[in-house]
Amino acid sequence: MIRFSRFIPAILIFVVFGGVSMSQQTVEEVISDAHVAYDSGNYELAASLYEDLVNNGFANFEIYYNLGSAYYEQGRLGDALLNYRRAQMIRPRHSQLNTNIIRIRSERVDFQGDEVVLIDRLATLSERSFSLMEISWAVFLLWSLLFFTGTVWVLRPSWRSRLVWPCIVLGIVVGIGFSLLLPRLYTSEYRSSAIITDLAATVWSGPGEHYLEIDQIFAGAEVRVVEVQDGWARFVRPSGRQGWILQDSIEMI
Amino acid sequence: MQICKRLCWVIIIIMWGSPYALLAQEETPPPDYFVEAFVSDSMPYVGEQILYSFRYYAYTLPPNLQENLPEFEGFWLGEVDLVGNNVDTIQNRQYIVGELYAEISPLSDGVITIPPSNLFIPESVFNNRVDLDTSSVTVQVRPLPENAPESFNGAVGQYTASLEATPMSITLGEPVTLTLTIDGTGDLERLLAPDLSEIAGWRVFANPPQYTLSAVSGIRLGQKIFQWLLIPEQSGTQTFPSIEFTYFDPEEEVYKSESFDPFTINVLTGQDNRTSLAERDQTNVDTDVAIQLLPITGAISNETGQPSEMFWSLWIIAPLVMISSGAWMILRRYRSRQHAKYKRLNALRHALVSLKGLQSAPSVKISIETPKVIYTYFSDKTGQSVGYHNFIQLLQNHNLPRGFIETLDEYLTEAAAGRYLPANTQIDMQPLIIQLVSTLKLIDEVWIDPS
Repeated sequence: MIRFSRFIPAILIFVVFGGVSMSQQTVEEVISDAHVAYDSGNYELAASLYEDLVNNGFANFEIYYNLGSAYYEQGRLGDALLNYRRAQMIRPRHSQLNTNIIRIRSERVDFQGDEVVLIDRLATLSERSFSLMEISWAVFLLWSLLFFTGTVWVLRPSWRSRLVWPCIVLGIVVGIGFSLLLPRLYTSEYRSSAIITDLAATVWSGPGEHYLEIDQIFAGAEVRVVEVQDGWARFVRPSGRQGWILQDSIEMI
Repeated sequence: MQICKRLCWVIIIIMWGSPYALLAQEETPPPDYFVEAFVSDSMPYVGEQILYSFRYYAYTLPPNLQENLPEFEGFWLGEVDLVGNNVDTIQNRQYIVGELYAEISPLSDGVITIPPSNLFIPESVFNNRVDLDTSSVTVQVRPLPENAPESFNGAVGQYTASLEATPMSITLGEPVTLTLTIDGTGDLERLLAPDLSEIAGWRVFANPPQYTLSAVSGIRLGQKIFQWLLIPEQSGTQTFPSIEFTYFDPEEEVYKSESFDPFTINVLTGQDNRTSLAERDQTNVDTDVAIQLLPITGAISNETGQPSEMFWSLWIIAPLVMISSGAWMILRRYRSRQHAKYKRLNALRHALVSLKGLQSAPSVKISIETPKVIYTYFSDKTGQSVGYHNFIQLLQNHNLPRGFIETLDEYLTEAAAGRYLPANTQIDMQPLIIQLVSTLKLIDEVWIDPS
């Protein structure tokens, strides 16, 4: 039997500070209470406390991970995968996180294979290994180095013969870097990854319930949102099949 | 008697519809099109994959030819494919032979009849309408023997299996990847994985299986890969039980099993000295093991994994530095050119001013300064450093008439001679200055700038 009296301070904090900014001390208390709630099996309270932290701007890898775990233990695969994927955007090579993501993918209803759209595949290829931040910084440094070499080229005409190969090599490396970075930026802007959070959602052929009902999609399915219109989202599955879904049923990563 | 024989032939031809029957009648020319259908094994076992072939012989091959396979009711329909067209000669007539095949496996025992396949060619300018049906194909499906082992889950065919587990040493919470690869002939699409759902001490997550098919010398071979993620619930040396893959071999008509021995995985305890997953399991209300939370320490900032807008503005710095450097270099070069141009245009004026200043000077000073005036004039004109060592060469390079070069050389010699006069000796150097002024004026008129 879980004793709710243990969580009264946390609930009070949640009520009092809900929607307003928290101090660092309050944050630590909420985290501590969320841990206690989780360890006691009160996953719902743990999730709501972590969610409150995220809503107040206190979101980092560990909080997303723990929030995902709290949702997973409630059986909410969609919300769990959503938060795990958010954590993955920060630390893509965390082995425990990746194991949990594989676990959810194996448990969800929808079987989803590799993405067929080239730009999505390119984006996914680097997503598994590098965060957008890491790729951006790496390409930025290479970009700066290339232009630094170019600056030396301009200022020191006598060094130009020695700078030919460094410039070519740097140019190629920067090109490769951009081929990893640009699909990520494009997809994050125009083909945002999203997770179905409703247990089961109807897929329509257009943005409205008067359109043809074509399919059902289930919690934890990973899609890309390509258009949003009047509370409806047009999404693309990894297989390339498209459909419209109520925006409330889907959450952007 | 003869009439009876002929009548028999006609009946056979009508009922069978085989081309060979038609060809048997010497007086009847062979038809332009004919078809046939058959199966690779007319007495398969339940679940055994067989090939249904539909073959047509066409005198010409119209582009709008349509092959229609029947509904394979009572069968699991696998891959349907077209074998490339071949050429065959029957009774001195060449035919293009096309073949379609379908992989089918019977779902239940008993007699199953596959309806006819059809070849249809619509009427066109070049050919008449053709609508030909094959005969039905009857398959006598045999049930599988009753002595099936417990691990048998419906696999029928001829297979070999291999098992691999990696890595063999992990930290608690990490998964081991178990891969079972099955090669052989049979209905790989429907081939099921061995049941690993309830293994004590392990959590097992199955990945979607993958299979590939290929044809080697007419024999269809395939491979199916099953993969699981195995997560041990406790640290230490953990043993995964043996796995058995059982199938029925229709050639030898026996059940065969491939057994894989138990294997052990070395599971290390995590660095944070966490209690084992199994221990957590006992303390939890749920029977399932809860995922371990990550400790959160230190100040929490909002991490999104996305670079800020400020970061993107940094990208402009490097190109700006390079562009600024280039612009600065161009400006410097322009200024340098402007300065050289100014000096070139005003070279004579400066020289004349200098020479005018020397008119009242002592002869020794004139001797010393006159060469300097000459060198400076040509330095300004050419934009290069001019001295005794390169003076003649430079003027030649600028195509100055030889007469001027010799005259200037004489002035320089005269000036040099004036420098080494005995002390307190004065000579009149004014003619030299006057001649130099007029010479420089003449040179300035004929001077051609290289640009």
